[in-house]
Amino acid sequence: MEKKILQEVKRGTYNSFIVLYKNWSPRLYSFIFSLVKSKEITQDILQETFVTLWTHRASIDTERSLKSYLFTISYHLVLKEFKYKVCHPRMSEYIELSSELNLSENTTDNKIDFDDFLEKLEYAKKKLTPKQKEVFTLIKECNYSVAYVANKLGVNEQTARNHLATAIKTLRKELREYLSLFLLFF
Amino acid sequence: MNKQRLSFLLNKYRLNTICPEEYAEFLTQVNLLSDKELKEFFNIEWDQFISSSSSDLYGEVHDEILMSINNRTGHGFEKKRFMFSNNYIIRIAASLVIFLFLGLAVNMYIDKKTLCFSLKNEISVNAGKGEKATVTLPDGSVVKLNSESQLTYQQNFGLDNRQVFFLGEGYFKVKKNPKKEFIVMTKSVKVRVTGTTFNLSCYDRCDQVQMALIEGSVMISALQFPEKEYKVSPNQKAIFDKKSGVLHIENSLNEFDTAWVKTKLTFHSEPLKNVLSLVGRKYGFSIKLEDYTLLNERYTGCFDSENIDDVLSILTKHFKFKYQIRKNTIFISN
Repeated sequence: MEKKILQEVKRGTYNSFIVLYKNWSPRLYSFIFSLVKSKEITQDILQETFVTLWTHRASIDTERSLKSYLFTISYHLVLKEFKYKVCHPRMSEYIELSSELNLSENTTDNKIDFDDFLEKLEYAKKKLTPKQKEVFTLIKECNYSVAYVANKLGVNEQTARNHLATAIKTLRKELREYLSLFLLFF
Repeated sequence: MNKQRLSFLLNKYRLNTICPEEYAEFLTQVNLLSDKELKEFFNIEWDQFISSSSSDLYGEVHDEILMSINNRTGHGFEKKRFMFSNNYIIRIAASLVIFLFLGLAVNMYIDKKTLCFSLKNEISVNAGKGEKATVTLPDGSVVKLNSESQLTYQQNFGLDNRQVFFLGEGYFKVKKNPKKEFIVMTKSVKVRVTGTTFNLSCYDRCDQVQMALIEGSVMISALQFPEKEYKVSPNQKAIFDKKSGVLHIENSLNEFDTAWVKTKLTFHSEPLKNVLSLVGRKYGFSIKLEDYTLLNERYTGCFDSENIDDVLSILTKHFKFKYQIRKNTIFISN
């Protein structure tokens, strides 16, 4: 069946190409999103992948599976973005938060957008006291040690730890509100 | 590094269930791997993902992407809308073209009207006193105008006929065109030709109209009763006397008549009266005779000079008269 569709696409039947797209785009979308964690980028990669498939339809080898084709075409686009995301300093927190929300929302697939997360994080940071914000930024974002930050701010380490803990708690609370709302509506 | 372990971590990363410690481990491993190795892990993950077939529903977002794909591959709804708008543009263009043509038609109509009007416009070429002019008419005929002459023709010359109005003296070299005769109208005679060369002299101040034919043939008729048409042959001359209204043909050496064209005046025992009047006309002077006895003298000779003084000095040697030039008038006394 799939082979037949692929042959038709190779011959230039655009309707078959649409059938093919409708079969595969939801799965490819989920997979790409789970790696790049951004809706916008996922959409771009998906679009690019199918356009490439259509424009290079003449060179399709109908013996190969469509699954491998889609992977091969999308892979190099995904890889670049994956490497960038996986090294992102905020990714760890994003995953923590997402996993919490995943459990509470009981969704099998996570659709929290990393870009949204960063945006909401900045927004949530406004709810922090200046001291909390400073401690959070220095430790979590600039990767300084608690001892260094405590010394720099002239407080003892335990106070710094407390500030950080309250800051994270506040942010989690804020983010959960934003993002669960976000999940409900989008 | 255990491949299974990495696959496990990749899967956890994908599902956002990776804990911070595992994430740190995953990050280090990913950074150690080459793109090719990474591709392998991704491929395994992809195969597993597909076989587990946790398929999402086809949703709005997928339609949006499909629309973008359609646009980029040239199959989109956008494309159709573009075609519709294209059609729309064609309609606008068509109506614009109609207006354009309408405007053009009106413009051309007005143009033609003004053209017809302007066709009735008269073009006239004048040669002033002592001047000469050469006119090439639209049909290629050439008219040389002697001093104090005027050639007038309508702008539609050559359209229906070839007709000119003439005053003074002119040397006509008419282009041959049997279909359209060339007509020269003067105040007293009408000259009808098809293609000839002739000289016509019809000054208002002269009592005679002279038409000397050089080549071809000419039909000449007086404009007063009887309007008889005479045929003139080369080396003949038609003379019309305005006072008596008589038109007669005589043989003539036309060198005398066409001398002015060549800037050379030739006389064969010509009465001095004629000689002086010709000289005066050629150089653009009026001549006043104070001694009428001179009129009976005849002169044979040739003047080949641009200067009136040279001509007059030769004549004074012959006839022993004195002359004075004041403004445009030459006074001759004994």
